[in-house]
Order: sequence, then structure tokens, then C-alpha cells
Amino acid sequence: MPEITKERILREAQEITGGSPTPERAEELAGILNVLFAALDEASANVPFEAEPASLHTALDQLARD
Amino acid sequence: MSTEIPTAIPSDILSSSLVDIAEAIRSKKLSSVEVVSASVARAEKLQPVLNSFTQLLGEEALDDAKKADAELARGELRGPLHGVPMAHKDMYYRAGHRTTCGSKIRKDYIADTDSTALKRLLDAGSIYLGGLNMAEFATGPTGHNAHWGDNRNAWNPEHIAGGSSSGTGSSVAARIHFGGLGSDTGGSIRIPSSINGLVGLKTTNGLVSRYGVMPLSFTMDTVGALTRTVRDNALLTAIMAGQDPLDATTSHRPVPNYEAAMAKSIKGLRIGVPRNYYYDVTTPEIKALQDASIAAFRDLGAEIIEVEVPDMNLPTHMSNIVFNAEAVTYHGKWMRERPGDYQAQVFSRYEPGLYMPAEKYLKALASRVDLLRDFCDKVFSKVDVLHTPGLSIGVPSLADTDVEAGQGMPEMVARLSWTTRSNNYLGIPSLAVPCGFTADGLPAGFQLMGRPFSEAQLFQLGHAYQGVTDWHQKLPTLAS
Repeated sequence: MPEITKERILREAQEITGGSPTPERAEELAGILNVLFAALDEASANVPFEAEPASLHTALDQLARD
Repeated sequence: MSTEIPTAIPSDILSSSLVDIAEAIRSKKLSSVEVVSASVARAEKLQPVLNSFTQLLGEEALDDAKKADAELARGELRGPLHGVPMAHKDMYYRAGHRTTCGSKIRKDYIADTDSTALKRLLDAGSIYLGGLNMAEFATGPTGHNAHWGDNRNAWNPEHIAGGSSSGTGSSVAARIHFGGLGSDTGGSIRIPSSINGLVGLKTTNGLVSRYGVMPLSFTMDTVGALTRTVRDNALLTAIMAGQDPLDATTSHRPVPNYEAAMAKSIKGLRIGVPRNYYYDVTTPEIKALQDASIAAFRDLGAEIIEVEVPDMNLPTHMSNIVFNAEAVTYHGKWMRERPGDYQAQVFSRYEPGLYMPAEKYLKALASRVDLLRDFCDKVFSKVDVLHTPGLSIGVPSLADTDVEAGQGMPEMVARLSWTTRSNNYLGIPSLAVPCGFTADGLPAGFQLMGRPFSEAQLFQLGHAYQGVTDWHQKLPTLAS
């Protein structure tokens, strides 16, 4: 079941942009977003989200080899 | 524009390295006026061919050169770049001056502040030659620009200059000047570096201040230079790097002595060659050039080790989520009010962000450190650096990549940034280095990526490679 559909984009577009993409473009956008969201599910599978996420800059500093 | 060109300019002035030309000016073998005049003359001559500049400030640069020579005559040295002309991607703000960002929307924008990176280069004595053409708002890997005209490749003007730092790539390759700023959010320094036969550094996030730089994706944007030699790049990086009170994300780490690092042997350093992902879309011709560069490193005494890398599609996709969300944070108002003032291909790159739920953006950000640790664990526990193609394919023509927002656009962007995009999400440094030419006479490059803040080691390896190869000394026909 895709998370974002063409219909949802067309519905929200008017409110967000004041305009509306063509149905073909809405379908393309939904396709792009759904690929990204599927990857996100995989990438974030083991991230607990129970505390503020670690800072990238702190991690970069820790992972540097001095 | 009137420019007073001295009559006796040694023909190789503009083919010198930045380090050598700075020394020649410092030691008064050449005046800044001679060098700047030569730069301006070549810039004017090649502008109709390459379209590298959005604004060429020849008279202003010559006035500054005269001041630099007068200072030197009085024994005053501003810094290691005294009197050296440089031009930069037109997105680095100078208070009171125009910064176009390669756009229609900001074509007359007058900045009210100075970019820290640019200011440090100017404070070191460099002369500002002008603003360089770029992809609109630094968005796009080809150098097409409907507002300012397409930027063309110095090695063959029918081919792309790469993007988004297209003008820096074409102008440095054409020997108009010696090095300049680009910016890299997904490969925008490394792609034009590989495409133009140049050295380009994507710095570790936090090494160089982004203050006063047009943002694109504010957690992934990085500042760095494109040059012809690794040593030149190390000099510029050393000048720009270091903590900046105006950019809270800059690192407090001391800036290493890159020059000392480059003097060391690379014997025993471990270079990883990826078994998976990075060669998935690489053409055989590019693969052969990569193999030759790896052989050169082996001959220099480096240990070559094959490594399995994590699934790089994940950080690449995560970078797209972050990019979309952050780009519309900056562009959303203009996208709603002035959609027609964007090129279709740029608007369409940001458009998914308009429908990006906050939950997805925050999850992508929150996953970043996990993916970074995983990459460092799987790769940098086994090798010191990872060697990959800088660009997976030969340099495409302008016509073949002029896809506007058409069906082929996402695929074209993905192919051109196949090896680069993930690094901006992970935050790690990467150095692009030229490694030869394809049969059509266009350049190719490799990329070395390392642990966070390992720029010194990347310079060490790149400098050693350039010591045994001469790709960086080859001249495009129009510059010879």
C-alpha cells in the first residue's frame, strides 16, 4: 500500500501551493516519494526514536581518527 | 570593459599552479597586475565560448592588483594568496555586491554580509575576479542554465561543464585562473572536478564555515575549492578551514598542517576498492582508468584491499529526503509566488519536498548517525580510504543531458551523482582527482573518501598520485 498517492497530492496541492500539478506529474511525485519512504523504513528500522537523535557533528568528531 | 594588458606576459603564467603563481608574485618575479591582466584577457576571450562567468569584474580586479603590487613594494604581505586572481561560484556573499546564485529570482540580490570562506581567501590577499556561472541555486549536475546561459566544457564546448559548480570547473580547467570556490551538497564540487580534469574537495561537514553562503540543503551543504593540483587545494582549504563564531556547526578542531602531511610517504596506507555498489553503473572505459589509478597507488607502496560496502542506496535515498525537505524550507515561498521564475528542471527537483511529511524528514535526519557509524565500521575499520570513480560515465554532451524536467531527468541526475550523493548525508570528506581521458578526449577522475576530518590523508594520497602522473598538467586546446 503506497504511503502517498496521486489523489492525496492533488488534494493537498491546492492548499500547499495554491496550484495543482497535472495528474501525470502527481503520479510521478507519488512514485518518487514512495521509493524514498520505502528506503527510509529500512534505514530507520533500528533507530529507537526514544530520545533526541545523536548530533551528526558530535558523531563526526568521535569517528575522526586523531 | 577596458583592460590594460602588459605587452610581455610569459605564455605559461596561467598554466602555473596556484602555489607557484603566489610564490612568483610574492618574490616579485611577476606582478599581480601582470597575472590579473592575463586572467582578465583570457576570461574575456573565452566567455563567448565557455560562458564561465555571470559577472566578470576586470577593472575592479586590476585596481585591486595595482594596490597589491603597491603593498608588496612597501614590504606589506597580506597573506599566502597576495595578488593572486581567483573567481568563485556566484553564491558567496560580499557585502554591498551582487550575488546572483545563478538564478533569475536573485539576479539583482545585493548581500549585506560577507561569506566567511570568501573573506578568508580575500584576507589572505587574493583578488576577486568575478562571480562564476553555476546551476540555478546550485541545483543540477550538468551546468545547464536557462537564465545565464549554459556553461560549456573547456575540453570540448559541446559537452557539459558539470554542476552545480560549473563555472569554477570550466574556468579553472581553461586556465583563466588557478582555483576557486564551489559548493557541494550532493557532488557539486566533485562532479565538475571529474568532468573538467580538476581536483575538488568535498570537506567534512563542519570543517569550513557556511556563513554567508547561499543555502540549498543546510545540513548537507559544504564549502570547498576546485583547483588543478592537490597542493593548491590543500593551501586553499587550510586558509578557509576552522572554527567560525558565525557558523555554529563549524568544528573546534585545530586545522592540520596539510603541507606536512603531503610530504609523507603513502607506503603502507590501505586503499579500499569497493566490491559492490560503486561500479554498478560504471562504463568499461571509466573502469579501466580507475584500475590504472589503483595500479599507480600500488606502485607507490599503498596496500590495495577489496571491501564490501553497506548498501549505499540507503544513504543516497536519505540524502534525497533531507534535500527535498530543506530545499523547500528555503524555496517554498518563491515556489508558491514565482514558480515561473525557476527552470522546470530545478522546480521539479524541489517539488517532492512540498509533500514531504515532517515525520519522514525527521526520521531521515535521526537515521544519519547510525548509517555513518555503519559505514565507518564496515569500511574504515579495514582501510584508510575508499577509492571509487569520481564520475561513473564519460562526460555527456550538452544535448544529451538537456532533459528539462522530462522523464529522463531523475535517472540522469542519479547516474551523474551515483558515487557522490551519499557522502553529503554521511558528512565524510571526499577528494576528486583527475586520472586520465576517455577516447573522446574528455577527462575522468577518481574519488578518495575518508573518515571524518581526514582531509590531510586525502591530500597526502592525492599529492603522491599527482607526483607520478601528469594528467593535471594537460592543457585543453583552447587554453594552449
